[in-house]
Amino acid sequence: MKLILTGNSNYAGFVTEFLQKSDYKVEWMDFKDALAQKDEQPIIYLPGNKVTAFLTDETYVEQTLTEKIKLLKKADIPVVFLLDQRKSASSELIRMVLLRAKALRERKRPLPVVVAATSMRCGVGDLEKLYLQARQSGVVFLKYDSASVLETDGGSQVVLTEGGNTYEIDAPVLVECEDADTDETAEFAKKKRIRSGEGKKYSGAKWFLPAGFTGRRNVWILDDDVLYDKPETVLTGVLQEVENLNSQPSIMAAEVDDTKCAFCYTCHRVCPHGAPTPDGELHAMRISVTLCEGCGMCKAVCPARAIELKNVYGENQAEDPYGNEKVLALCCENSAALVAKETFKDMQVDSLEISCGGEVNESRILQALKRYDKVLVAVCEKSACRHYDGNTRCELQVERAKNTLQTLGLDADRVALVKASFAAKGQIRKAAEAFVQNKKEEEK
Amino acid sequence: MKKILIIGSGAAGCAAALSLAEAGIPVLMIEKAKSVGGKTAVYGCKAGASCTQCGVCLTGPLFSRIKEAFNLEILCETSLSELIREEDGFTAILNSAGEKLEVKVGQIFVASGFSHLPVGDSGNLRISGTSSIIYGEQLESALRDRTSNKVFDTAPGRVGFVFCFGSRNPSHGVSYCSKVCCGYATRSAKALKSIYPDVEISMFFMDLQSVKAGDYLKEMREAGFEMIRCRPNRIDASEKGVQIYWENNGGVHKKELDLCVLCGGIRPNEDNVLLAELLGLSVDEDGFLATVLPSEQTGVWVAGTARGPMNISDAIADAKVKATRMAQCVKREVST
Repeated sequence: MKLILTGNSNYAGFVTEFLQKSDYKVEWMDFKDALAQKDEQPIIYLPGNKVTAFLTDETYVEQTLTEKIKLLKKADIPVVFLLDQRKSASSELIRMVLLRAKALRERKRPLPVVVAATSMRCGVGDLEKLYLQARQSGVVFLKYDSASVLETDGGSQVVLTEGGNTYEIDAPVLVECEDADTDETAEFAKKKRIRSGEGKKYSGAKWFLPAGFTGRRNVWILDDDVLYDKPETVLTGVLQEVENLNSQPSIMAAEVDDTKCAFCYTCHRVCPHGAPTPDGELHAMRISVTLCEGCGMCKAVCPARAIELKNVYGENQAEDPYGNEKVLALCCENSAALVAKETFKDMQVDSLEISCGGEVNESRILQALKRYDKVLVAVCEKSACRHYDGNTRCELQVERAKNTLQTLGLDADRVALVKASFAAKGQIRKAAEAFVQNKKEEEK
Repeated sequence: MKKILIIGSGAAGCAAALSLAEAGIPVLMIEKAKSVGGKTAVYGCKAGASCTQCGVCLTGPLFSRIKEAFNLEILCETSLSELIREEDGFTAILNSAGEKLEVKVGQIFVASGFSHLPVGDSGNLRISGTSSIIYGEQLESALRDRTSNKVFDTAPGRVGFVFCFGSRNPSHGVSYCSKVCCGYATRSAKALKSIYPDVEISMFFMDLQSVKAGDYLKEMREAGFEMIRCRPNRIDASEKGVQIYWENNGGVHKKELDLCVLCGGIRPNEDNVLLAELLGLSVDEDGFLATVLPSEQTGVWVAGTARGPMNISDAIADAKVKATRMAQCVKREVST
């Protein structure tokens, strides 16, 4: 199995060595060549972080310091490192600052060094040790609540406030430490159709995905921050995913019937995992089995009804049960379905497991209403969807079904939506109870 | 193929059991308590207006899949009482609800987890009274049983969260960072705020080690939380309410609260010393389990919070990594 690597991270050597030790063929490529690869090719991108030259470039540091020392004719100017000014610093950035601050104290003529941060987050890896060493070498650490920087003749002045007190520090050499994603990362994400998550980061955006996982089954973005803490754990996780890619793609996978496909690109736009690709020869879309996660969003939106979800092991997806009870609960497999049995134990509710809220569409709800009095859709909390926006799509579809019912002169309350995690059983139970009771009142 | 013995059925134990069982290796999982799930089984979802990524959802699929898995035997109310090392594995003598069981196993996976802070241990923070003071884990279970507009019987007006309670404090005998408390305290506070929009919440923090990147302090203040950097030194609790005292800038400050949440962290499991003795492991300076020799040689693996403080997703990832390496070992043995 060949893995393609690209990017210019500090961890490039480590990653290559680790992958080769685990019997993987590794090929480093230029950024552009890597982007030109096929969609199915597994690719690991290691973007370095953008940081100020003062933290990485030794010659730049020397030049700045000699200039400033000449200018002020003093040797005891403090070098101020200002962290967390706009956003909290990453572990990798903290490490760089600690190393640089320590190095400045260990010169022949040590300089006073101040490191200001809202809080020192050193609980990771060897940072605690490094922090202690830096303190022992004489680096001054300040904690602040808010900071502002004023420009003066001799450089800058930093104003820090903490607990109602204000401190002013003259800082001819001020290093405003910040790291950012490189521009290439955005380009990479755009090309590979990866959505950014929390803090506009592309990697590790969701906690339920392994670190560095991007939502695309064969693309990983491992920036320095992801690799900082336990690089071996992260890489083993990635390799496990690569193994899964080969052996067992996904339990459910979508399949396009090319005789029905209208080639409208709707599934291509909707798919959160980038699985459908146009097939020019067949004049139809083709869904890659390796990339498909079986969420069923494409099936729900396909105007030609050309997409079917199929179990890889040959079983068909469960049909809606014939209405034995009065209410049907469509439960997402990641939330309500996990507690459906015990939650609906003594209620007149049939529950059906669906792979994602995105699988539900208006016609399916209306179809179910032929056999059931009411339909309850139970999906994950907002922004907790494993397929990015299945739950919000579902909300829109439920709204649409309600509107249709209203236009037909029927009761719109026959459809309801509840968004709750399985770990808040009370919420699901309460919603279902209210839903069922409402019906009883009408009967009276 | 010889069985693998997994000690503990929490998040880490279940994750390891599943990946081993799915790799076709027979597994025996033992659990000291009456049911499977460990500590996280009673934790609640902390979503407010949207998901706050607390990681509790990760355990749900694990616990439901564990019931259906092949090759997997679970014994509850069972603990390891003796272990005899043999040439090709171990003979484990188990105490299963008073009965003595003898099992031959190939390798051992320790996921014995952590303990909560003992009630009454408060280090140099003086606490008088117990009413209106709850621990983090009690709030967790309250959040699990919540409905969309109710957590407690009466709506609290002013709530205080004390961070780093029982960690990063040598007078507790705990100088390490528990890594989970600031996370769950923040999430629980946000969940409370979304259920009771009028509640006044004060956060007494000192360290903020494992807060996610982003402008945490500013965001919290803008969201209406009072953030106070201090280490409280006295809490007086009575039925009328809670008074919390702290020193800052040379003065003593005081705040009245209706409810005080002590965000206790992760303590080493009480059984760690015993387990270390039985299994030939060492106990590190903080009291967590550590391996002396590489696990590939000894056949004893340690994962999850038995090894040190970590959050749910880290514990699961750790267990999966160890299980993968273990499965590789087993397959190598079988093929030779």
